[in-house]
Amino acid sequence: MTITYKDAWKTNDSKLVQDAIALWTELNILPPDQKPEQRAKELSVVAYEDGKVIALTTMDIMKLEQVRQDFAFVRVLIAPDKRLQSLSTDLMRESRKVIEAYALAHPEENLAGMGAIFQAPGIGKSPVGAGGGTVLIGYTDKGYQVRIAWFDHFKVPPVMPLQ
Amino acid sequence: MAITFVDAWRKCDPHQEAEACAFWARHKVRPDDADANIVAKQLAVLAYDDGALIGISTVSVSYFDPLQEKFGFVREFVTSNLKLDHINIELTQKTLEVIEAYAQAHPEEELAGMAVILKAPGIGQRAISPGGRLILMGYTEQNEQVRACWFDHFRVKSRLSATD
Repeated sequence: MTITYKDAWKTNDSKLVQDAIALWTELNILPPDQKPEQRAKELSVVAYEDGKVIALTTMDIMKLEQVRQDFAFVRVLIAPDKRLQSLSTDLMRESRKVIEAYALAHPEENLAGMGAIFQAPGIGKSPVGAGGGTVLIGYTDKGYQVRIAWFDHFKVPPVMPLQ
Repeated sequence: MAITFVDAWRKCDPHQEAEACAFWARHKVRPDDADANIVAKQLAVLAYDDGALIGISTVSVSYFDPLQEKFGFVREFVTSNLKLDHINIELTQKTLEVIEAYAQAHPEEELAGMAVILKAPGIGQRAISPGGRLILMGYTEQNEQVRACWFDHFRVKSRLSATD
């Protein structure tokens, strides 16, 4: 099988958006109060196999208080019959490429890295090195892993220690 | 300048401990105002320049709340006339090697990684330290950076409840 990955981050590519909406609709995955067109604004990578969309990622930019910087938190959606760990890892890696290139080209957005919340049981036993080079830095209230990968180019603003 | 590093972690060597206490006294440093004799029990690596002691790292093991595991927190002192980046970096690297090897050999201690609190202003602008393993993971209440790395062999347990 040959899988191709398309950069969809802020491209407004109507074909990618249509295909993503088709997958969300088919899987009935979006919350009732969210319109697909709204979620499509967060689309970052779309994966195709033989011309059919089989997976996608979206990103939501949030400030991570623990490290005081903005991170693009990635969500991964994979069609049920394609759920392999390797595909999830590849999607994370492709998403990082897309968002890191964007952050480098848009320094005014001060985007420090990519983040992910690992919800699936059994993944993330190694605290380092999951998809996209993420590292475990904490947990949510529900016990989900919070992982981040700092972008290579990002510089942390100096903060004077309090005396 | 030939710098050599000596593993002192959990050796309980009275000679090394006395040498460290004398070194701190000579340079008028008391690690975090603690009793030097107590801190001497936390010796990790000693750095020598042609036989003369020029730097010390100590490690205290404590629970790192955000990561919910035990980490070895490193403190270093290098003589000011030799306070060059590469000595500090090498001392940190050697300390990491020593503590990681110890943790791997003593899995019952469940030591998950190593951490450093950066007290010097202006350092640490890159989120990933030279060497690529110590990563910015938070700040202390005093605004100091906390950088940590996980040991390669360590595996975390699930924090999910049975109902998740």
